[in-house]
Amino acid sequence: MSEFFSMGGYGAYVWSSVGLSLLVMGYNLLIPYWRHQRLLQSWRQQQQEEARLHESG
Amino acid sequence: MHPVLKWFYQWAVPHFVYPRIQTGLPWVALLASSLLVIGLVWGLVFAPADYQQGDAFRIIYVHVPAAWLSMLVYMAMTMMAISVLVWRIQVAELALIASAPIGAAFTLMALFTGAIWGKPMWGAWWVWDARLTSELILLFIYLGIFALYHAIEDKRQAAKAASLMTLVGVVNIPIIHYSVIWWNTLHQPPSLSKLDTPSIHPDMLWPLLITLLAFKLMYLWMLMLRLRTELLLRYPQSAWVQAIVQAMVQAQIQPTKDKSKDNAR
Repeated sequence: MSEFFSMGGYGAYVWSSVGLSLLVMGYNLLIPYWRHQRLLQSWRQQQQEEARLHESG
Repeated sequence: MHPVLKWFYQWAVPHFVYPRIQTGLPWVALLASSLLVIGLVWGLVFAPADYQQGDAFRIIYVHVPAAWLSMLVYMAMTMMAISVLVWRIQVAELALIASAPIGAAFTLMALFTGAIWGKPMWGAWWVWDARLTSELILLFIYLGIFALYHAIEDKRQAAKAASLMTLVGVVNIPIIHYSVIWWNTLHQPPSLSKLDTPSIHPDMLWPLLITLLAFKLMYLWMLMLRLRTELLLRYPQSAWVQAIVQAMVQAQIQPTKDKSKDNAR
C-alpha cells in the first residue's frame, strides 16, 4: 500500500498534481452551486417580506 | 421550419434552457464523477508504469485532459462568440461568459500539473519554451475576456466586446497545438493527435481516453452550474423567474403547515 502511495519515489509529484486538479474542479463546482442557491434564497426572502408588508399594511 | 432547425433554435430561449439544466444536472454530475473516478483509479493504480518515466508519467491522467480542455473550452467559446455577433443570441452571451472562468481553471490546472511534471523530468518547474508560453498566454486571454465583460456596464455591449476578444484570441489555439512541432521545445510531442497510430500503449491509452471524456463532462457540469445563475441574473423580472421564486415561497409555506399539523396530533 505504501508502495502505491510512494509512486516509485514520485509520490509527491503525482499526488500533488492529482490533488490540485481535484481541488480546482471542486472549487468550480461548489462556488457556482452555492451562488445559485444563495441567489434564489435571497429572492424568496425578499418575496416573503414583501408579502408580509402587504398583509400588515 | 425544419424540425431539426426548430429543435436547435429552442436552445436560444432562456425559459427553455433553465428547466433543462435543472433536470440534466444530476445525470451529468453522476456520469462525470463516475467516469472521473474510473479513469483516475485505472490510470493511477492499474495502468503499467512507463519504462522511462516510471510512475511519474501518471501525471498524464490529469495534465493531458486539463490541457485538452483548456483549448476545447476556447473552441466552444469561439462558437458562442460567433452566435453572439451574428445572431445576437443572449443565451450564447451568458454561456460565453460562464465558460471563461472554467477555461481559465483548466488552463491553470494544465500549467500547474505541467510544472509539477517538469520538475522531476526536466529538472525545472518552468521553461520559457513555445508550448508553455503560449499556454500561459491562453490563461491571460481567458482572464482578459472575463475582465472586459465585467468592466462594461451595459451587458449586451459587454458581451459583444467579449465575443470580439474571443475571436481575436483564437489565433493562439493553433499556436499552442502546433508549438511542439513548429519549434524545438522541451515539451514532448502529442501522444494522442493520431488515434489510428497512437504513440502510447493501449493499457495506458484507455484510462487517458476515459479521463478525457470525464473532463469534458466536468466542463458541461460546471457550465450548467454557472449558466443557470447567469440566466436568473439576466432576466430577474421575467415571468418564468418570478414563477420559480413563487414556487419556492409556496414550498416554504407547505412544509411548515404540515409540521404544525403533526404537532397538533
